[in-house]
Amino acid sequence: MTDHSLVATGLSAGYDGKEILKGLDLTIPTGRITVIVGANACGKSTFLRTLSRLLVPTKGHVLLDGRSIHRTPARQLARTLGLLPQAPIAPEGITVADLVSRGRHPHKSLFSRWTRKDDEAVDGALTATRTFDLAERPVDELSGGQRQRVWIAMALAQETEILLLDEPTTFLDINHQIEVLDLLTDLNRERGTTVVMVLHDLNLAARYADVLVAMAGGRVHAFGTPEEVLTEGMVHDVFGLESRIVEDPLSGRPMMLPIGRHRMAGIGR
Amino acid sequence: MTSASIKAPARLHGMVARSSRMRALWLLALVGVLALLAALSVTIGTRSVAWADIMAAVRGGQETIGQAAVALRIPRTLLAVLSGAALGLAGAIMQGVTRNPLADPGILGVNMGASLAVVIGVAWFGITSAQAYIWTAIAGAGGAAVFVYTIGSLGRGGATPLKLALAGAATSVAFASLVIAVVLPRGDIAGGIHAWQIGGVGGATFERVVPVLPFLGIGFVISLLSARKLNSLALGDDVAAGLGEHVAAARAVASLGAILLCGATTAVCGPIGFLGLVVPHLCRTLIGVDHRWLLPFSAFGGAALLLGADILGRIVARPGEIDVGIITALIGAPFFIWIVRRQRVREL
Repeated sequence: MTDHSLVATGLSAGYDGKEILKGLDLTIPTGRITVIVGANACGKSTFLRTLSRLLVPTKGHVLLDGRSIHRTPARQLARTLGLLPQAPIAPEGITVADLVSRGRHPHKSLFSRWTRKDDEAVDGALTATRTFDLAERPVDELSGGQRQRVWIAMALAQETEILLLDEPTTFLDINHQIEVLDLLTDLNRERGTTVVMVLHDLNLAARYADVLVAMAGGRVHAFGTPEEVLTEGMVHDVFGLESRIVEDPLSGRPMMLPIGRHRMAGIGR
Repeated sequence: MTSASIKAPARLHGMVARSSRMRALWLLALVGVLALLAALSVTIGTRSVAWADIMAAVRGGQETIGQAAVALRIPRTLLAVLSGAALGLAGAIMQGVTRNPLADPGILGVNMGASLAVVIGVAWFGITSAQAYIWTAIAGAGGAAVFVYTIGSLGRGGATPLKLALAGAATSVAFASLVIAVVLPRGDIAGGIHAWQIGGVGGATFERVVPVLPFLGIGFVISLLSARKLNSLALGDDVAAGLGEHVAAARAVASLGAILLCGATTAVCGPIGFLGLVVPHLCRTLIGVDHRWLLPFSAFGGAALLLGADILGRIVARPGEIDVGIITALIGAPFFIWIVRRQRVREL
């Protein structure tokens, strides 16, 4: 089980002098799945990049176990906190086994040799993501869903207790989206990994999140269980969309039905 | 399920071991080819020399004309091996650092930068010592690398393969014209510069080769130690940073290794093009994209290719010689076009 704490306090960050995060405060719940939702350009990706040290905040801090991650040695941080960016690109011709092995990088120093422990970590990652049989295939030849599983395997081989993912389901068919989200849930349940991810689809977010975070204007707009956060009011405030929230008959979680201008024959009922 | 997960590590281990064994065999074969070429390089030349004279020359004899000719081929062979290895390795590093299949010390203008610096040094500052040549060349190579990378990174999307190659090619042409402009009013140095500018290993002596050895040595060490960094960079800057790599520092260190290699090589041989482009591509098709293998392979492959090209240049134009820089360009230019056409010039 994880006992690391990841906290953002008064976090401001942006690009080229343009501030995108504006004093964001958030404590990431340990050992849970946190899903961040919000409209485009609300700062979801920027937040994830700042959380994972890719971006230096202009104000505020990201604290891992009480220590600023920007003062933690990069390699040490990378043994605790893993990141899978949006749509990563694999080098041409790389095999699955090679790609996943590179997840061991933070555990290796300049001269250290490949050990049995590395083998076990890579193997465990391949097994957990059911990519073992693909191990010798080039990544280029895989389907989108397989490829994303391979990238997640790489992040797993890193053996971090916290895993950040930026839209891990983008560009995937719906069956592969479910497959990836199920896989991340397995990971959370079996290894106790703290998962933080940005998702576009509100209904999938509500279904898979333990904690849902709605962001707007570079700040946290709402934080809590999916039932607390996914409300008609939040969808209106954050997305500017009228909607109705019903109960997902399969999961019992809230489900958002958007209200448009057409084909709304059932709206009176 | 349980039996599968118990067996699995052994299976994976076997798989890794098998591919390592295959790569080791390829490496052995390559070293064998290199040894064979080195032997050929000492025995073959524009002048046919009897076997007894060759053996005598290898042991240090210089009594006959034949022995003297062979004695000249020994430092030449050494220089071809070293500079080939340096350029092959530098090419692999540059392709890794820029994640660009078109990167090469020639195409990115690095060798021409070294060249221009040396020519300016000779023409304006009257440098003559081997040390001065080398330092000037390395400074020129570094300056050109920074310049081309900066130009290529301007605008949206950063340093894409094509933008970098274009920036490098344009810079190369500009530097080449500057070389001519600097040399033109100086009839006294034009002949020497012109011969050097083509790029070759002919006329090598131990006195010229020995001063570059420490530079090449440091360049080789820095470059080979960058393998793991390059493996992380290959996954993209964000992933590399997520794996705990200092992306900018990794790039700078690996580039420094390549610049030392290119500068030192250019100082002795002149700008030899295309080797750094061709060799890593061929090696990648043989042993894959893992830099821990690719870098040593590119070094040995570069040595073999440059030595082979030099031998070829001695044979085809008997009784004259064709400089190795011309041969590599003849091989490399069609190869460059082939790479551009075959791949959609995607990032490595």
